[in-house]
Amino acid sequence: MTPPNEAAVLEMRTRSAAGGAGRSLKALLAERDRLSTDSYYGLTDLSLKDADPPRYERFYSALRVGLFSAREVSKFVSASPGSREMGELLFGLLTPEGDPIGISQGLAGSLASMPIGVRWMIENDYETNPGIREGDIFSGDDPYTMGAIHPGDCFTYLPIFAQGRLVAWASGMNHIMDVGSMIGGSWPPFSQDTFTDGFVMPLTKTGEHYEYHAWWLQVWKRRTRAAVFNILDEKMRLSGCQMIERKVHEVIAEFGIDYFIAGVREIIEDGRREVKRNVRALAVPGRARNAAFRTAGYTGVGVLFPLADREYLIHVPVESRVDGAAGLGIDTAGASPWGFHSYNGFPGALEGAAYLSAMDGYAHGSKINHGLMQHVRVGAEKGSVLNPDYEHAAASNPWATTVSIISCAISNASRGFLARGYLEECWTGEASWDGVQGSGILPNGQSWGFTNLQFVGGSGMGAFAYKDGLPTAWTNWNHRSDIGNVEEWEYVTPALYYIGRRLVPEYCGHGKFRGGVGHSATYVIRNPGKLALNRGGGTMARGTVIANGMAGGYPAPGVFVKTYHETNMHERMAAGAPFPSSPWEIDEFIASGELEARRATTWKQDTPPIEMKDGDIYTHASGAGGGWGDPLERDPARVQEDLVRGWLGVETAREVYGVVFDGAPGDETVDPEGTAKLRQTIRQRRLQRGVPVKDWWRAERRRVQAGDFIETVRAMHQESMRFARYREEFTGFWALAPDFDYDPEGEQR
Amino acid sequence: MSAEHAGPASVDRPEEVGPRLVARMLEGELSWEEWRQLLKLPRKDPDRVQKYLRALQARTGFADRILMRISDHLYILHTAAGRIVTCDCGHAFGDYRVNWKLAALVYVRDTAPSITEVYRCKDFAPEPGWSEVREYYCPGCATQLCVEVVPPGYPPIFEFLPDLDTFYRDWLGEPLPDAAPTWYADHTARVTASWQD
Repeated sequence: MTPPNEAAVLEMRTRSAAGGAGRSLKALLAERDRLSTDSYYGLTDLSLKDADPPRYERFYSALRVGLFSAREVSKFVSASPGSREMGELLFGLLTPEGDPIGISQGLAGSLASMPIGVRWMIENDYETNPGIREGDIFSGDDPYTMGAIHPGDCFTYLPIFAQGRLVAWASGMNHIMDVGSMIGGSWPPFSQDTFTDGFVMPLTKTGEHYEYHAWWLQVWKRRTRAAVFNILDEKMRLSGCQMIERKVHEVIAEFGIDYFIAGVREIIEDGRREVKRNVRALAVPGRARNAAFRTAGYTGVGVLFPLADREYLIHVPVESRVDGAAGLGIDTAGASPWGFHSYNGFPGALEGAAYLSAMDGYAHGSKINHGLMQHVRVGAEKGSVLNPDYEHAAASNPWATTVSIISCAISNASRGFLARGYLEECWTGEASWDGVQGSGILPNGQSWGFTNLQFVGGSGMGAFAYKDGLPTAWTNWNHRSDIGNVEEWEYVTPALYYIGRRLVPEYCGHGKFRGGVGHSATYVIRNPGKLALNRGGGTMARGTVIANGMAGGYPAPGVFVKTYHETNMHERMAAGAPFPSSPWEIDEFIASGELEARRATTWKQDTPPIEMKDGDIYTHASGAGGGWGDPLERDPARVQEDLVRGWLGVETAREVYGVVFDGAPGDETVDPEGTAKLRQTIRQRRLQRGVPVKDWWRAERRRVQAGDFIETVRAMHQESMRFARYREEFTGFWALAPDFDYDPEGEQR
Repeated sequence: MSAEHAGPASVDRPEEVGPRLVARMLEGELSWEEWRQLLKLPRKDPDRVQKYLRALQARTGFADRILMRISDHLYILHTAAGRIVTCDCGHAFGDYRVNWKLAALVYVRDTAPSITEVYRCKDFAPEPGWSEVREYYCPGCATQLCVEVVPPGYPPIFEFLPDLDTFYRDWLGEPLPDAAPTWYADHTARVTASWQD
């Protein structure tokens, strides 16, 4: 077959879709929507690619290099370790309609937000007022109108013009240090509605001629507690966008504007087709399910926020469905309704998480762009926690909810990989996160607020079907992240001094292959002035990160926080005495009398702001990975390795793994015969204590009918049943009347 | 020399993933380098599932045909009684359209002492009342097949319901002899409905 002639292709393409020349963005968006029901822009072939593949790939590579360079260079404009050290940022190149053509490395899930923002500007006629011209800068962070996952994610958009018409957008985003919320930091854990979420801005024209308006920088100064960082982050995003703009101009100079307009659409369609091919190659038609739960302890906030004064257990079921045409749907039907809490998310948050799982599962070898988004259908019922029908619902920390969705969807995908024999791709995808944050006034009078992002930069990986998860190695929302150097954090959080970062013994999901061991960070407070700390983060330890372990492995435990007040730490340090560097060592030092603490707290749900004074200690742990397979099948030699590393105790080795050691503590060796015998004993014990599910069901059903649960659990069931999917599952499984209801007269919220 | 005889670290192309490699994969004998090479294949070997099922058939010794592996130890077999979830010890769990957990043994950890046997530190152990740890065991061999940690009253999660006929007919081009639209359905609630006193 003769490859199509490039000139002929371009003539046809530019005739049928003029790429915005002389037309409004609204008209262009309408045409894009009309034509993009199946393939992108109705493309039936990849003619430019077929005509000259090297030229086409060079075109894409040039744009992608521009995106990578923008990220790697501009982040040094920032002063925040989150951007500079950890890479908590993303750049995207978008079509005039807002569809991502390509993204840099970094917070890849935010590609879902970018088209929402552009679409909102177009639909609200920004082209007329305030106008969209070359050099204009648009900024914002509003989850509802622009799909920001949370207001801590700030976006900058720069329209790119060539030959007098808008041909693309550059977009940059990053996670900032403080969002100006009622509670200091960037993920306020307590917020009743958007008005306590902090500084929430829909997209606003914040500059012209590539320069920010002075008023915009004044807004950062007045409305957030980290003005220096936030302003430099703004400048970082603009710098990156300008680098992308320059690269686009270079590419157009080389390839021509017609090639650019036609080529970017082909790139997107190319990406869509590759994702579809990968689903077909790796998945199995059918459905896979998992679920996650998150607590939100708001009881007691009623003095100020009566609508929010209750406990929540937020239910997030995740169903992945593959159809015969290799379509992939990820939805959360049956999730809890939205509430007066921080953990609601608007569709950008859900989509960001779902697309991240699809990137890991099905986008290898692909050009990651809108094509993935077009192929993977993501859904949440209107009125649910991931799609509130109240536009002013709080959305300050939905990532706490949606990270579990990534893990659920990855484990769902692994069911298909395992069925097809692609064991190398199978893993639990499990990880949680945490972030100490806060605000205060330093002794010199300076007001400040901060977020320490280290735990979103490294989590324990979930176990694979053939190996353990690595500790502190990875986050599925930022494939190029790390936890940042201690010194970097210390100089921007002047009252918090690290006294340890440690992997936490036993802190993983056990299994034939165990999850990555989670880690802790511990700080002593020094000269804080006035300081209150709180935490933003994922699932706390009342529950597990996701509900279901894989193939007999245990799910990963959640996050915990501990504080110690009025200690003698400073005296010990001044005297050169040993001091603890981890949560468990603190408890050991206190038990031995070496460390004094007049008051201590342990949190397995989100902390309110806690005042911290000189000499107090704050410690927290996060990032445990889930296990794969029956722990009794674990190679005893691996159990011994974990024992030697201090990641496992002999009791767990014996009770969970059935491994017996000989030798004195510190010099243990596996007793093979004792291990075989104990494992047989444990199997017998399982047969004795396990009850047929039918018997369990009969007893449990009576409890379910009576609603004999703690109030929060009963409310979770009741509220999730407002949606048909959970009602059908709950009443069907327990053989209850279809209209079964714990509180038929109750209020709907 | 074919990849099958070249020893480890030789899997650069999909066609180099041969039956012996798949068998060694099932035995857990691959080196990390070999796993990495499988991960880095530019394209997956499209006939992996056929090689895999042949290896599994030989490994398990099932007389009935394996239609699909759904977990480390669980398979959907094509038997005279239908499409039956079966453990590799031979214990049959029943129709694959019903959540296999219904035919398992379950042990529920719903007290602090029992939960902390597994989640050893009380600081990160799931809390009774909010969560319970359900361990599902095979009644035949006592293998722990799944653990779920869910709030009390939560229906056991039906992890995976494949659409076998679409897969075999449309994706593999090998329709199953008993293909019928009724095979892709969730029958779990039918079973629990029959359990009422």
